[in-house]
Amino acid sequence: MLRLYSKLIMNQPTMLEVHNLRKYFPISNGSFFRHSEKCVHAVDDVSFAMEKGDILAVVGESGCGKSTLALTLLALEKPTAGQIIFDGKDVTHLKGTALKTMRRHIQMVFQDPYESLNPRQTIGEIVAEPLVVHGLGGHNGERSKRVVQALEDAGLKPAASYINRRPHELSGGQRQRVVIASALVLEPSLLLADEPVSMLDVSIRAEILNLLTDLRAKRGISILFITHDLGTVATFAGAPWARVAVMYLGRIVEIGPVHAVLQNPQHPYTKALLSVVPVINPRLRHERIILQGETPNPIDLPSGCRFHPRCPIAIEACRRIDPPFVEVGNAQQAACIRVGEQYTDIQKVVR
Amino acid sequence: MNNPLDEDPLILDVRNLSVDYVAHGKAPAHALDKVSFQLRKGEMLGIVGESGCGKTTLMLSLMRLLPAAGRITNGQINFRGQDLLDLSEKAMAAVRWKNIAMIFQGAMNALNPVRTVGSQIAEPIVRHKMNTINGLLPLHGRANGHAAHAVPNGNGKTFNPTRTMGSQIAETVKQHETIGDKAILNRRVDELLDLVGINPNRRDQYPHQYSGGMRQRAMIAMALACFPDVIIADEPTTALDVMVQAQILELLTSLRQQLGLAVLLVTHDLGVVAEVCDSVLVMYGGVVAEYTDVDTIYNHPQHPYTRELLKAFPDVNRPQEKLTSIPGYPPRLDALPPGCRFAPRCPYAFDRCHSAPPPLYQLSGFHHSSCYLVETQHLASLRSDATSCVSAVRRKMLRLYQCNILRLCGQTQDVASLLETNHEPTNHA
Amino acid sequence: MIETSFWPTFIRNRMAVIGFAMLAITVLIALLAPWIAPFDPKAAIRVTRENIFTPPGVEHWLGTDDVGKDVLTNLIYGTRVSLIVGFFASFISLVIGGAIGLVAGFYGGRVENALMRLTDILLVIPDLPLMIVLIAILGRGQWILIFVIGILGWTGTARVVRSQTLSVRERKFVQRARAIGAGNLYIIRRHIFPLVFPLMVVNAVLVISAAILNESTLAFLGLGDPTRLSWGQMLNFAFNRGAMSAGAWWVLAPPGFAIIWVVLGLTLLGNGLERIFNPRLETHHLSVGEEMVARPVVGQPVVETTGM
Repeated sequence: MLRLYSKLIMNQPTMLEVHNLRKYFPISNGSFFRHSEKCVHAVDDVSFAMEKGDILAVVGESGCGKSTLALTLLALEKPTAGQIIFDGKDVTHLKGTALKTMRRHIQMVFQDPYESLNPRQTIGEIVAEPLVVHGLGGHNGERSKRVVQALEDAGLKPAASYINRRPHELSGGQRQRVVIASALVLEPSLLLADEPVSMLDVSIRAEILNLLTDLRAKRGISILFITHDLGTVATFAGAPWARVAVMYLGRIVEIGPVHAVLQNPQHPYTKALLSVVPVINPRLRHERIILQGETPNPIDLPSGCRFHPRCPIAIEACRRIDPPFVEVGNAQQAACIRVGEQYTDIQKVVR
Repeated sequence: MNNPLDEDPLILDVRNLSVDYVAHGKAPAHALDKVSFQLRKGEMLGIVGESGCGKTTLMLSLMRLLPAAGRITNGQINFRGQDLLDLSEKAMAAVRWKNIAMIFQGAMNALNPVRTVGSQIAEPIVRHKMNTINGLLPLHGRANGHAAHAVPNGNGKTFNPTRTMGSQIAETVKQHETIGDKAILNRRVDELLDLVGINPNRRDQYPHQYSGGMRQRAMIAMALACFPDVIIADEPTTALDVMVQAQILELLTSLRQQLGLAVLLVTHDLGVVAEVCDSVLVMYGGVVAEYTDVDTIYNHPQHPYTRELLKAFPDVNRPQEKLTSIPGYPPRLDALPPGCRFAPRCPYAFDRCHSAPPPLYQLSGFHHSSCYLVETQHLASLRSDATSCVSAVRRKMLRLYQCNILRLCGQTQDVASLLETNHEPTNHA
Repeated sequence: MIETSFWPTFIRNRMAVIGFAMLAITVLIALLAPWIAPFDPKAAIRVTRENIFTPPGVEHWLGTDDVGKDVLTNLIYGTRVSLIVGFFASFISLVIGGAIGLVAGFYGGRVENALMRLTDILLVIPDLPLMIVLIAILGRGQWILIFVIGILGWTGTARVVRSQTLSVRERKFVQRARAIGAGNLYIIRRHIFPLVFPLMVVNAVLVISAAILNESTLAFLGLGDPTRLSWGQMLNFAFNRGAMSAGAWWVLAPPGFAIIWVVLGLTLLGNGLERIFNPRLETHHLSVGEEMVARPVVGQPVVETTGM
């Protein structure tokens, strides 16, 4: 939030501010009339901010709430509580036309390039669809120009050869580019990318990642990049405008510049995640912190710190205290009461 | 072949395996072409490649579970000296699961949702009639001996995920009327669950009550059910979270040590291979690109495809480097390029690469690579680093240097061929 | 995709082709009735003892009925009536069923519950007695017949459409359309309906055959339109006017056969179409077994689409 304050001083509206966002899904008992008390705490008190041209990588395992976060930001899910401020305006409870207009500025790239495209549409129709939906590009000439431009910006050249083809004729990487093109055609200022490369072969992931960073450089699009793979996050490490937020059970447990978090993780969960990322140089095999069990369900949350049942350095106090964020310098924050300690009790698996 | 694990007995020796997929009216797709590798007891071999490179076809061929359109056109699969391709289907059925077991891709979804996990683990045990006193060797004894008599049975299926548990349990109970057998069965299942880290109390739960990681462990337990010598794990960690992935890999490693298993790990993830495997087989377009131990693959890769793959792989420890990708697409298996299958995408390709496919060269020690560049790099000082980023002039200088050295060594034919062909690497964008 | 490869696939499916041929013949007969019928159905005939119930012969290929009319002519013109009632009634069923299925599947929640309970109720009540009751209330006549059959025949369609809508609704490209800002109606029109429609076509064929059967049954029971001679009506007259006792099989068999012919043709066509339009054909997996391939192998069509 330090950056937020500095921005306020300089009087520039932050592009995106999220305050205490919560999204709970009630669990129904199947009965027509009764509602159950329990709910899935998918997103539970998340706050962060993004400037124009930022890349924020949200990292976490399945069930941590990152996809729900994206859907809520996109207004495909209604937040249970909290505030979303986009370009200075409160967009949390938008409906109708106002919502539709806002959608022009926030677009999403989905994970599955094989399912994101309607098999009965041609590529041209798919990329033109956002324009059709918003009634933009009045007559056909303008529309096709924008479609061609978007396809070329997404790296599909020559665009004309793709326009009449159908999704099943393209490879995974090409389809993902089509999805990106259809997101670009509205010229959004924020792009939400939900695991955009996890279903692609490793050898073509780089293309898509490089495309995203190029788009950021050329068009100033901010990107919220969701992934479970820390290796992908590492590609942004050189950039000062790239941050990473690590999520666990609906909350951000650590956030900071990518290089800082990767070099010097403060939260035990981040440390564990980093240590188990496979390293391809066998000579660099290191000690790994392999957590036991799996992420507990977000329905019955542990008391105190959510991570304490699996935390390798949990102490008695962790069961009672829900840790607040602790600044670790350089705009890095971690939610752990033992931040900064030199601990020796961490259990590692040595190979 | 020289191999640091030489003293261990050879379990699997695959030679020149070739597989085609046929379709009427169309040219056959050459899914595998002269694939050879070896697997020793206790060794974990990682098989790496992009989707469509033939890894799954290779695994299915080993189990002889190819779909109807698949034909094994050449080669041998020697399992403990016996060529599996010579066996009848009945005999093969006995080998399947009992000697070679497989963990399928997307295994977590391959469990039958209406049967308990315990009964599904029990099924192969019963199919192979292993739940008799004779069959019940202690698990640790496995490290030294191998499984009891191969009992042929009429059922060629290894694991059918679509049959109801209830019916299969009923059938197996009918095969063994005595309660004694059932008790042994349950004890065995409990042992297996414990071995993979699942509480045996959960034997009678259904798959949906297990998490993704647990289901994967259950699949491993099922594969271990009949004490196989070899386990084939086809992408066992794809679709799992990175932490669960680490747990599963840890499990596989410890099982390997405990039980003396040999493991074939098929994956597209080089990191997984580097973490747990001893040796690596890199496949491209149905052929072996490179085959060596895991340290050499990373530190001295010879095949351009391996090099490009390594460059495309994000490394948390080298975060500043910009990732590269390999432009182009894998070849169509029914319309293969006439030369090396990787040549159209290879940044170092020269004329010879496009005209005839390179053989699998054996380099020093346990290192094989199917690339013509090998021929010009006999000498250690000319390897790897030089070729990756050199300008044209520098390359020409290198060639001259190579020619001189070779002349000194008296290998004039090589010099002649070097000078004949145009060695300018072409760049395919 | 489906459109480009439809006709070749269709021709390869023999059931569908045979069914289609049978149906085509029937429709042709109905259209060309004035030209192919040997007699004019409206011509007045003097009824004489020799005229009635004459067995098939040179002049009357299928003999005459109880009032001396040529059976073959009746049969040919009857095609028109049966088909008209069948098509119009099924059209009503399809529109109602399609709308209910789409709305229920798409909007879900209480709307879906309510609509589906209504569907279930109608499914449970036996069709025929309900139709009889309705006709008794509303009277007889061709359009009433069409209305009654149509309004009770939509339940199957509604269920099929609803389940397909549910599955399409969950697909990622629909979510993407929402993310773009598309409204509900746009999504239904542009994404859901095109993928539901092929199944409706298949379903339609079966609905038509059910409608024709229903019409025949009702007419046979005497609830049809007596002024229009459909096949069912022919059977009705045959039974009620002593064809059985006169041993005049030629009055009974042809309409029965005609009904069987049409329904069989429609059923064959329907089954064949279902095979063609089955959504499973839209995947590109190597058919080794879905669990054995991580993702579709696109870019190498030989390996994927030859049904290996």
